[in-house]
Amino acid sequence: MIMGMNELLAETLTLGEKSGIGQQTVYDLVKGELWNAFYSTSTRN
Amino acid sequence: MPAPGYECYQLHYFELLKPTHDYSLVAYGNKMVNDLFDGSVGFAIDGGIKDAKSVPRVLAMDISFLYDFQSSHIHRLSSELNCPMPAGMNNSTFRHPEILIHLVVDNTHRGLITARAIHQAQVVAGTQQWDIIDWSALIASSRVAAGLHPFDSKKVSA
Repeated sequence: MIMGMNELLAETLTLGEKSGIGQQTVYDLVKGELWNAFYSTSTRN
Repeated sequence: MPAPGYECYQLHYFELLKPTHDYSLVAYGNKMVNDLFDGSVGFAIDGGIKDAKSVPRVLAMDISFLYDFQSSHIHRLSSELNCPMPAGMNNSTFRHPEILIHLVVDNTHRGLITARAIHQAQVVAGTQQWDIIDWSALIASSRVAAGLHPFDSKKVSA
């Protein structure tokens, strides 16, 4: 699972870099989503 | 002897997603964003390639939620930005996660092989930055395909 997600993350970071928003921005989004998924239950409400 | 970092496979997959974990998606993402591809302190790429070849399909998880988008939209974005993206997922693959997993693992294997080939070419030329590269260096494959530098995100092209 981590293998497939790593691959998709790599592709997404590259797309983010090419789009101009930057891979750091994409990474922060993914990181925030994972963080919310694990440590919060109210972020989407 | 197992490759460096192999102990990560002893963990439950939810542990691997935990943001604070050393082997989580967040940790590997950090390596990709900051070009930290030293395999001597991570999980060597050879180990990743070996695992990609031996992923037990019957144990593969349904990660179709990762592809919850319209492939035509991804194709359009991909074309506009000159950045290849996997967009071959459709309703059929959603209903058959084993096919989806096969596609993802195959794509991962290709990325790992490409990254290792680029690194070995650098070793031959004597321009390599690391003797062993981490498996997060698979991003080199998509970077090169998109016209970027494989191991240095600060550089615009290879």
